[in-house]
Amino acid sequence: MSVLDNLKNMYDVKLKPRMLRTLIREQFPDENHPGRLPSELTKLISLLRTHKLLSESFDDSVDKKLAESWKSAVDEWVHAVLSLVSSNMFQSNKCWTGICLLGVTFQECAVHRFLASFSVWFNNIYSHIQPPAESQFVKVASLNTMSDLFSRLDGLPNAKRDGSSLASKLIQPLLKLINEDDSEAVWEGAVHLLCTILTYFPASIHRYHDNAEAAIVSKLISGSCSVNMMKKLAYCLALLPKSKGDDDSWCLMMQKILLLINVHLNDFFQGFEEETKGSEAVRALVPPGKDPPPPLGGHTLLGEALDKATKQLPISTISLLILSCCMMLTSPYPVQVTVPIVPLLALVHRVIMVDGSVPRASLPFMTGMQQEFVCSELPLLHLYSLELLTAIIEGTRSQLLPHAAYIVRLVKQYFKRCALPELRIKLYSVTKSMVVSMGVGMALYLGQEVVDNASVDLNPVGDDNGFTASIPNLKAASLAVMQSSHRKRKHSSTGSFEQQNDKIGFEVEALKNRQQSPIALKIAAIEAIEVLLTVGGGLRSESWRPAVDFLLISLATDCCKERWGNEGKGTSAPSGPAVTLADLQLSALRALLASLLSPSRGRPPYLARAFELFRRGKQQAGTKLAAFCAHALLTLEVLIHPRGLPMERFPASTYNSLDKVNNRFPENVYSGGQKHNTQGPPDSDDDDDLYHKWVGNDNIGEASALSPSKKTKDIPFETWTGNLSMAGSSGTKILEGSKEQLVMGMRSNEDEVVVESQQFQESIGQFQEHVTDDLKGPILGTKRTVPDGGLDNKEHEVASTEDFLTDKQDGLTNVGGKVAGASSSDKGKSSVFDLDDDSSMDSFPDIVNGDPDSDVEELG
Amino acid sequence: MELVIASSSIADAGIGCWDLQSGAEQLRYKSCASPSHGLACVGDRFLASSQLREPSSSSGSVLYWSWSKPQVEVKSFPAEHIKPIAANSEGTYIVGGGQSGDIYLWEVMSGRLLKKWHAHYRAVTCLVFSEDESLLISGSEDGCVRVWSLLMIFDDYESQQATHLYLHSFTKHTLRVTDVVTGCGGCNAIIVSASEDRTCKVWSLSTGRLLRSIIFPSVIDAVVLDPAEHVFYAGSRGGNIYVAALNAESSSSSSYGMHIISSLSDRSRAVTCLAYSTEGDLLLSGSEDGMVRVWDPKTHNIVRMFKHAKGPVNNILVVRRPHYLSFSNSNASSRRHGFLLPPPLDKYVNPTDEGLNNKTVICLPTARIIPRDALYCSSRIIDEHIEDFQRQGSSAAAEMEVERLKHECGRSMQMVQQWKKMYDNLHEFCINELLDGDQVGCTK
Repeated sequence: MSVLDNLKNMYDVKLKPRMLRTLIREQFPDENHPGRLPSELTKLISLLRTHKLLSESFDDSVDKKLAESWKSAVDEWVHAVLSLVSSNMFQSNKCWTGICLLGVTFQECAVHRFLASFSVWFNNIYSHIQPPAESQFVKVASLNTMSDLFSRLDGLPNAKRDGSSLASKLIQPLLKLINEDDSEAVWEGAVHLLCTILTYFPASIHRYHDNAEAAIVSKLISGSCSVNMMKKLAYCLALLPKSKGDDDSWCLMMQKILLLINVHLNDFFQGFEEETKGSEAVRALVPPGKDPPPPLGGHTLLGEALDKATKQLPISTISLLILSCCMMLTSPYPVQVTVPIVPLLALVHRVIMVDGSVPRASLPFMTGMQQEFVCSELPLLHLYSLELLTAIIEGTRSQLLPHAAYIVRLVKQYFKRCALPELRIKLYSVTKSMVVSMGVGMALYLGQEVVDNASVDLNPVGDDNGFTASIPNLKAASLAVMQSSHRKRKHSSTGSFEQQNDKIGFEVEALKNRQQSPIALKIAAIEAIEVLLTVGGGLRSESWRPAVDFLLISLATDCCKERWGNEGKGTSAPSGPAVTLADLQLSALRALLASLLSPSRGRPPYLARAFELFRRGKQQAGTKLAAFCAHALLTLEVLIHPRGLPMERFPASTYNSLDKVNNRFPENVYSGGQKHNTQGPPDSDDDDDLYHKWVGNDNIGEASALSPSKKTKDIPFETWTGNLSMAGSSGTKILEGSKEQLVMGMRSNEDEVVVESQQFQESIGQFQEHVTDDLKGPILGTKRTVPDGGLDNKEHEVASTEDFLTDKQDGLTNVGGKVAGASSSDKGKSSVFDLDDDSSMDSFPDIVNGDPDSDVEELG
Repeated sequence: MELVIASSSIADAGIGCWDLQSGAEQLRYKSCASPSHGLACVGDRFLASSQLREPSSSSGSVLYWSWSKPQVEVKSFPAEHIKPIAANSEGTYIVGGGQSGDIYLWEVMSGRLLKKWHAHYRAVTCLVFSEDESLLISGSEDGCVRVWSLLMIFDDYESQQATHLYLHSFTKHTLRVTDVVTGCGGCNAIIVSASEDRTCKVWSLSTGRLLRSIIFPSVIDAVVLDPAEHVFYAGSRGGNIYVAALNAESSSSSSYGMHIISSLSDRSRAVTCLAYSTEGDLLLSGSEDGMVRVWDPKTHNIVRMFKHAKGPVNNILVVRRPHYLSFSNSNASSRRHGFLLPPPLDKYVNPTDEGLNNKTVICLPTARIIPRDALYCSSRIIDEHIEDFQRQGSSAAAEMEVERLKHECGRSMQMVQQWKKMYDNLHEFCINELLDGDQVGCTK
């Protein structure tokens, strides 16, 4: 072979055929080594994968001979594998190896090779599925390999039809396996293959739909399989309507399942709920006057199965049928479907309202055994119902709106009753998906409820885990431990702290006997709060917001203290709990970030402490926590340095952005201690209220709404001086009072690459015309006197604008070098105004007048 | 790929449709005389428009066009004149504002009128969904802008308890509200409303307060927000599009008035509607002279013009071109996608039809992208098998096996002993018998 010369490196294409041949020669089970250990197979497969030995992919530069060599190597490989597959029955180990390697080949080989020979391969495997005498693990392997074949086929558009016809050949043997074989592993393989076919070639099952349904349901209600197997069956049942692919068959399946569930719940819940509930549920599914659908799995089947099991389905089966509904609601389907939304919600309601208590009326008919049995099964049933609720929310999305209020009430009711941690975790996740999917409106509804419950679950009472009780209860508030509470007291102007204190104190009393909630539940509660803050933290949240902010900072401080305080403890602990503690820390910090960022009326009160936490967290290098803390620090940076960035897009501000920096620079020296503020103003003083910000801008006629500080208030002055100097330098003579207008107009023209002179003339004319038009506009407008609240303002404003413009004309000549001086004295002025506009809103026009005038005085 | 869709108040102009990038005109949908804010694209599936009607006619009219056909496909006749309509982005609901001040909410898939409530004292002029579509904002001829929580509207219990249905009611406008827009920011979003009183007002959704009021030289009929909300654009009856500052620097020295940074102008007639294309970063304006102008907001230049009609353009939409839509074989493909148009909208709320009220039509995802590698299971089978194998070969298993074998061995030994003993007994017995027999024989 000419390719025998040296290899360049490990990426060299020449390596691949050679390596493949070596593998076949040395690693393959052959006549001499019939029973090679399967553990060598793992090595073999990983080599195939990493070096892509079967891919036959190379660029054009590769030598033709080399390509040939690779091709023949792969041919050899396929040949070897197929000979293993067809080895006789008594060497089932070899046969098994061959089938598995064929599966890997499906996945790895080149497309053209696959297309050329997939039907041959199919027949090879097919022969191993049918014979009854074949050993079990060969059957399982061939079922799975077959499933791989169809998975690969789906990606290739030209093979769709062939795939479909091959798949339909398989269905009957498969159903036979499910019905007649007695090994669970084989069932599992068969169901898996059935699911694959249903996903990619659903039409091929169309004819066998009813048989398939019967086979699956009979397995499902026999209750003789493991839970995992049952889940697979439930999934397969959910996929089954795809074989017909229309609205009706989906709805029929849903209706059948719901009916079966409800009928059996009637028996199960007998005596635990009102008698009428069951019949109501059935009536909602089958409207009066209509025939009920045939029972799930066909008539005869259900009768037989029930006779065996004393007319009662195992509860696990009911749960799995509910799971089937969930999967139907969330898995893809080719057409739109009609969901019986009310019966679904009614089912959820029905199940979670039964808590094992017996109404007085039916007390005499209830045996202790029966109650015990029902109570033992209920938690699982509740869990699956909540799962169904999640699936409904996910599946129907915005269509749920008309029923949202019903669900909210359901959730609220259940929060009161639900005490098991697993169920509460699920319930929190339900609330989370509700708030996310239905947005602000839902946050308004659920906010208080989530906060109340979460603060109970997060309450570290009776904690022996070393958490200090940092949420103030009545006693602890007096202790000095509460540095946090002191700080809080200083800052809070309202009585919120006291209220909160009382409230939590009360809860402490009420829940003295309550156990410490597990970490997973805490995480769920924190996440629910986080979502709530993210979506609806700023709207009508006054009642709960301060308490939540405080809860989150103390929680974060707490659970981060533990780990970082004594590092040794964390490492000595067994890995399991240490991981979950880290999860708790991460979720607490995430929620803390949300609480800082979520819009509120005041500045976030715990910003400083949060910064400290994030900074410390960032030092835990290499952890998720550190990555998150770095992100949090970046995000929060905007809070402390609000950005009043100049607009890139508007000529008026772009042109003097440079001047601005220059002008501002000396000021920064005076404002000592603020080091990072070349762009944005420093994190200054008192009031961060958005409202004042906006109005404050009104008064000064100033630019960036996000920066209410003194410095940016200089901008207008600088801006127009900049503009005027531009105008002056271009030396254009312009109408009085329209200078700015024209300057802007010209700028917009400057952006065009070439302006012909004639056009230029025209445009000037045009601009002048517009200027006069536009100036007339407002004056006329004020004379018309629109009966508006802002009327006074308007007149003043217009007048002042005119003044302003003429003043500017005069002032322009001696602007020159005085800019810096003027602006620094202006700064003094504007801070006085600042006080004014915070206190009195009505003096708005006066200030507008005052500002330019004062400038002019200074200049003159 | 974005499409520009424009409609006008005169019927024979229809609905124009252009490719924004290439400028090529697409299909023109026929016979649409829409009022302002009366055109909506429902979930990228079809176009819907309310129609201007003679005042004498008793019912309103809402028409549907599918993407592929120029003719009207579905006609609905609501109980009264509907002017503004809006649809949520998923296309599940259409809301319409009536002449009497009522707001109607229909479910698109079934056509059912789910809710109708009295929202304003006079006709509703514009409707818009909030960012997360849980809130609806309506403007009216009475100068009032109201924010509705849809959840609250559907919650019969709460809405009976509450004194009013709305979340906020902004009443500072003195004349007809002409346009309302809202931006990003979830619960902290801003709402900008324009009115015939020549002001635009900026409201805070979270606090319900007026943040800024801007007086314009002429009446503003259309408002659109810059996607980053530095500024908003206001189209005036004077023909100018004003750029007003939100979160941008503005100087009081502007000749237009407070907060107005600059203006875009083409000496056209009144600007009636505005839209913004985020993809191309372009501003679109419709004018009374029947033209749709496309502006580059950075340079203030017109980059493209579409001629729609002789009459005024009064609605512009910018929509992403539906991926299945190619005009050559759109019929077949739209059928394949199952997007047949839904039934017409109901006239009245129908509480009696239990069967339908129980149900809702949803679109499940048509396909889910799963990483293909996750699907293959041959190697998983190998691993499992090997694990099984190894578990059998593990030391603990071996030990147990040895124990078992020892036990077995012991039992077998015992058994052997027993058999041996029995054999011995039998042997002895037989010998004794034989000997006895012999003795008897001998004695005989």
